[in-house]
Amino acid sequence: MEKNAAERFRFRGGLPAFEEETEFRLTAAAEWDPFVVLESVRQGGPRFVCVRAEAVAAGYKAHLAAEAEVELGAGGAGPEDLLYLAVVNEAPGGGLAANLAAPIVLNKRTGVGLQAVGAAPEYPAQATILGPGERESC
Amino acid sequence: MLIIRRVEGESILLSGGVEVKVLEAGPRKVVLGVIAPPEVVVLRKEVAEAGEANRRAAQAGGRLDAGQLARRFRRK
Repeated sequence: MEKNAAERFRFRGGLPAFEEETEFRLTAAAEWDPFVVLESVRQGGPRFVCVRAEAVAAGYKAHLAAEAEVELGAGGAGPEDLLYLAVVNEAPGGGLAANLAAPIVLNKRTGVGLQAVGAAPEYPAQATILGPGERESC
Repeated sequence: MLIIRRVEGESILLSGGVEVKVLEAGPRKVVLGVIAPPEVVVLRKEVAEAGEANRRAAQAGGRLDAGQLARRFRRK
C-alpha cells in the first residue's frame, strides 16, 4: 500500500455507539503495517487505530452473516477484496488490545464497511497486542 | 440470576412496561420478541459491548500513533 494512501468507506448503520457516523476514511502507510487509521470524515468525529486481524491471529477467520455479506456486496468478493480489521483499545492492565471478536470488515471493491459483531466469537474481544512494558508511549 | 422456564408463546414481564415473549425455541437458538415503550433501548448484549469498546477505542485512538505502534509491534 502506498504511503498514507486513503480510501473512503460507507458504513450504512455506522458503528456500535457511533451509529450517526456513516462515512470513514481509511489511512494506511507501509511503515504503519499492520496498523491503519480509520476515522470519520466528519470534523471532530471518532478516530480508531486498527490492526489487520490476520497479523494478530494467524489464519484469522470470521463468519459473516448472510445479511452482512449482502450489505458489503461480498457475494462475488475475492479474499483480496475484504479487509478484516480489529479495533485497538487500551487494555485494563496497561498495554494495548485488539477486538478480534467483532472485526470491522471493509470491502475495497464496493467501498462499503461494517462492524461484524458476533462474527468471530471464538476470538477474544481484548487480544493483547502490546503488554504494559512494551507499550510505553505509543 | 433469576431462572424462569418458558415455552413458545409464553412471556415474562419486566418493569417499565416491557414484555419479552418466546416466539420460537429450537435446539440451538431461541427467537424472542420484545414489546417495550419507544424510550426503552433494546440491544443484543454483544452489540452493547462492542459499542462500549468502540467508545473507549475512539478515546484511545486520538492518542495512539500508528507508526510507533507498528515499530513496537514488529520488535516483539
